[in-house]
Amino acid sequence: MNSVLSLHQISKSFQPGVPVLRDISLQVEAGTMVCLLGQSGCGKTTLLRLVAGFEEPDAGEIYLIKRLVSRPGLVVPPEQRHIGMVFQDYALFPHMTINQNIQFGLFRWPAAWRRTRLTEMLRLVGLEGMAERYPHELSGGQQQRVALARALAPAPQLLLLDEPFSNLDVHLRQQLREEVQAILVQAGITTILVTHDQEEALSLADTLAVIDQGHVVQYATPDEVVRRPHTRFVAQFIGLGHFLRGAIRDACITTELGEIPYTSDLGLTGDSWQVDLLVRPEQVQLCNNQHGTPVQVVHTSFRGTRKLYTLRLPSGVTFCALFPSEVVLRLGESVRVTWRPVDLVVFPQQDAPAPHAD
Amino acid sequence: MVRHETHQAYVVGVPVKGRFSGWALAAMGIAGLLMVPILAVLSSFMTPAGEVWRHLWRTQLVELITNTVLLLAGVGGGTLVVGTGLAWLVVYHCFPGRAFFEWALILPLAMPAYVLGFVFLGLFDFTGPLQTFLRTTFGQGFRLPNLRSYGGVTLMMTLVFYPYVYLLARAAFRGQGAATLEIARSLGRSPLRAFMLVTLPIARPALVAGVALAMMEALADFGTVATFGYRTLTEAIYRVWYGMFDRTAATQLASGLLCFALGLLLVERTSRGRARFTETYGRGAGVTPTVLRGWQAALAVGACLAVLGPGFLLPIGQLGLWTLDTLQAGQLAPAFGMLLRNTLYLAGLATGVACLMAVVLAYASRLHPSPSVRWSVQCAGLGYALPGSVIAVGVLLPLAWLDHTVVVWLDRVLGRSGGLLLTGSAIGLIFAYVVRFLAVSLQTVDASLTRISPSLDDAARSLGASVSRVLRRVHLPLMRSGLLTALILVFIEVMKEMPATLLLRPFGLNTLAVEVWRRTSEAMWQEAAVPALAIVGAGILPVLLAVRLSARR
Repeated sequence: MNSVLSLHQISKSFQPGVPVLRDISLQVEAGTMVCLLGQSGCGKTTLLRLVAGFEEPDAGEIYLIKRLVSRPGLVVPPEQRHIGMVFQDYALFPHMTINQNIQFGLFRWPAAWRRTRLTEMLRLVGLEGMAERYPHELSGGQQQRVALARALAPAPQLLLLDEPFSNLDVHLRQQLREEVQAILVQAGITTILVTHDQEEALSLADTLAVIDQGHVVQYATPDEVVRRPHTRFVAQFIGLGHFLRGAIRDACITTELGEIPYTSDLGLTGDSWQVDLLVRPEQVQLCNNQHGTPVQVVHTSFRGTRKLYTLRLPSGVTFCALFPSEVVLRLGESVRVTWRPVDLVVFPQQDAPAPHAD
Repeated sequence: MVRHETHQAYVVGVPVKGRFSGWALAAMGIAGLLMVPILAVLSSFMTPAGEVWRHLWRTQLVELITNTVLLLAGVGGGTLVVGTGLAWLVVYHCFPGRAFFEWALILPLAMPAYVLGFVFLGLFDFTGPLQTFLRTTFGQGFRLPNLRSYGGVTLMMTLVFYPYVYLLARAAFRGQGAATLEIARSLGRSPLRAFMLVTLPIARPALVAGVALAMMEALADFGTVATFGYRTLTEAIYRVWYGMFDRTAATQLASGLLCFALGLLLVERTSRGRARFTETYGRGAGVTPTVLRGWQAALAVGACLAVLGPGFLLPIGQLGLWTLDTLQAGQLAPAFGMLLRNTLYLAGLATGVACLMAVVLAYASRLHPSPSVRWSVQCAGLGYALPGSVIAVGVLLPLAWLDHTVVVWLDRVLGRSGGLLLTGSAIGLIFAYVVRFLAVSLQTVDASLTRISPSLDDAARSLGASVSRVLRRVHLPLMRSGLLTALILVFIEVMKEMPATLLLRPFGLNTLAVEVWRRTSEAMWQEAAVPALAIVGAGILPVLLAVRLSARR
């Protein structure tokens, strides 16, 4: 196993009795990109700062390439960790040129090597010819690339990105995301990215750590997280799912949206088991015949090329469905829909983690 | 005097070409009036006075200019080191008493330099208690370095003026947030190196502005340099005016001093204009201070006390003791009540006029933001950079002219008997106060007015209110705390003022500051303590205000 970063049972709180991080354990493999995904205040930035060495853990250990760098009472200072950082607002040094910014971390290198590295970095991020400009003369996207070049120049063993795309407007974000991903893959660097944007996390990460209230609730590939979420929180946090009650009888789960075949690999035992199933909007389809379930449209909203409808079942339970915009349904209209989930996500109604085959 | 940065400035009106505007006219009128003293002093360059200049050059000009430049350099360097160092200590470190020191280090602003000066002389001079004690202990030949020297004056002024640099440096360091510093550390620099390579250069404009303010105060000071026998241009103006009754020479000296002041003003104004040095980053994550323990913490506390102790705690204590002695001995002069009344009367009058003008100027720039109004506001607010002695000379020249021409004519017309009407009255003094301190009230009033969103104006106008109704019912109530602050700040500055008061006051009209001067010029330290304590006591109030205002940011 080739792990660059190892966290063992890290805990941290800023006020007594109010833990920000609880018992976090993670391994990050060399050359991979790990995304820490969670809502504001869930502790992901604190985790990043612990890894960088700006905070001291209350419990647990942090190992950087087999070397202990953090534990209660011992913190190797950030300047000795050889870790690159990019902040949300880039934090470029405004009184220095791009050249000086990028070379800031190379002060121990011989002059000739510094010059070569500078040219290399500028080429890597696509900013040749801009070396003598000042940060305020560049656009947001260019500033971000300088921040990246500056962090990568000293060839760090780990790169930390704290919501690097949040400051950019939507159009730029998508484009820059792809460019940055290409740069990082080309540089072959191990990266930890902190974000609250699911789309970003799902598209960039090799491994995803979903954080809720200081715990890592799931640490898996994006595919796994979407198809087999460990907890209700993960299931609801990723995508726009709604839960629907169901009861298992023999080989079927009976729900308001019809009967779903029950397969034993879901790992639930006993009969008349009460469960909650996740309904994702993409899984719902319109249906013209009598087999569909009647629902009423209570809300519509545009999602680009598709429309998101909030539908209400006769029992009053609501869920969402995503239909192409050619389909036009009005508020209050009654339609029939079917639901055929491919990857079924089921939780027992007691809120325990979903048992599934591994 | 502390300048606060405004966050958001709303511009309301759109100037319509060719439209008559009472506000704009009023603003220009005020600015014109307040520029008269400066123009009067500058015009003295044009009257041929070659003989006077030659005489000055031969006798003292070189010494005066050298002394002034040395003083500015010494005070500039001293306040830079002390102010920046203390700000660095307080922002980036955690040590016992930090919360207290953070605001307490601003207190020396309440202490006029001349008060600190005479307390030190009273305590540490050759005949003072400390040296007498040391002589009895170590023998008659023992003496400390002479306090009445360049070193002594520079030390006094550094202890009193460093808060200008301290406040601006602290705001600059806080405003940068932690991001740039942390990035510098992640790139391999130690915390101290990171501070020097990144934080200090970015904060440079704020530091330059703070040093410029401290130097302006040093340039304007009269009481300290006179008591210490250190001859600067300001001191020379007074000496030449009263000692030699040489008005022309005094005017020429004032014009020279004015050049220094304008130079400093230029430095201060241009250093603030570098927008790219100030925060392009929002108030992001704040700094996580390093916790100091053991000998490091002791050193930190020691550094703060080494500055605050002599600069504020010691003089307050000594003034208190002297005052108690005076009161117990029943030696409080009956004239003290009269002094207090005079001071309050003059300060009250000047404050009222200054605040009224400030409201007019601030309103004019809100309703009619044309270039001419903007320039008027800039010009009207120049006074804080000008030494009181220069303003005094600049006020006396036109007033004397008026007395000798217009008033004489008026007397003839109205049949009054002759006599100097203007130069002998308090009008000149009030005028000088307003010129000098309008900037203080203008800044405060302007800041509180520009915080009021223009949509309030629009809403009120759409409901049928006229401009004056909007002013009375909407703006003034919202500006109430800002106006109160302005009133207090100007009042205290006028109370402390000495050079212009000495030069312009009508015969017999003495203020607390004048009384301090009269006593200290005869080395009667204890008798000077009561009026001095009154001045300092009153001065603590605006300092606490400034602390509250800066805490709200």
